[in-house]
Amino acid sequence: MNNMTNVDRRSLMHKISMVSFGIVEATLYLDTHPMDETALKYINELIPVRQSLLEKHSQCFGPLTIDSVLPSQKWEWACNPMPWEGGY
Amino acid sequence: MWNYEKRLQYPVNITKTNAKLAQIIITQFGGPDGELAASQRYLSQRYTMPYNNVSGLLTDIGTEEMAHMEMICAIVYQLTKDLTIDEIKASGFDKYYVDHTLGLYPQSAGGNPFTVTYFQSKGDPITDLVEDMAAEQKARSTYDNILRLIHDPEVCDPIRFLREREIVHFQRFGEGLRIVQEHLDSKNFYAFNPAFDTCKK
Repeated sequence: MNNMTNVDRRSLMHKISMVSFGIVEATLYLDTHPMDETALKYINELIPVRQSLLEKHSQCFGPLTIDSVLPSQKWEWACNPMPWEGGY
Repeated sequence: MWNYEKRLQYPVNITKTNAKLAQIIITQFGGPDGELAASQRYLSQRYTMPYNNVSGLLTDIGTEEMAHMEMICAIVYQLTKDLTIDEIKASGFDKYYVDHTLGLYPQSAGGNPFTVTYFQSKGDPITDLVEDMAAEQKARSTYDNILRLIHDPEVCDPIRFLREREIVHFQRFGEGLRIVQEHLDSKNFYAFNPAFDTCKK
């Protein structure tokens, strides 16, 4: 998997966690404040960032979502360790 | 419909096993105020919630609760990974072990298996949301109690994250209740049940 190290993987996972958390938090807030301009701007900025981070993870370390699976010789989705195995 | 995302909502990396702690924390998997009960409560209640953003809120919080259940299971799994028979006996984990080995089974800290009677789906929006707010506070109290019992920073860190989410969910459910009440008669919120009675046909 390219020249990426475990440190790079952890730092990428950290970014994915932070951005995804921002999206979850903004989603709940927007459910009860659907017209809030600041929250809308915030979530609309984060969604494409999360998308590109998920694509990067798929390229370098395997997919975290079915939507980011890339064509390959092997079914990478099932090959990586499950998230409860730690390592991040 | 749901999609699985192959990551935890917040990282769980526990390097030191502790079966005694696992037996306490498992209550947030299958205990009375645990994450399994929370997710199934909200996901059951949402069908008869008559306002889109409030049924959407129940769906989104119910979904997040499933991610919390996965975090709790990851904590219990990592706290009991590769335990030896001697460690199992010394920690009092033998009673769990005899029935489940090191498998994850939803039960309370006292050993009671998960029961769906931990929650209600009343089909009355005010009643359901008030239960949901209470459920978030009960889970918050449980996390506070857990934090009084444990000191390992690797365990405390994800538990603190989960505790904080209870407070956010409580806030959002309070706003959901306000939204429901805004649809009702301010002189008598109980004049009719908007999930059952029809005011005009």
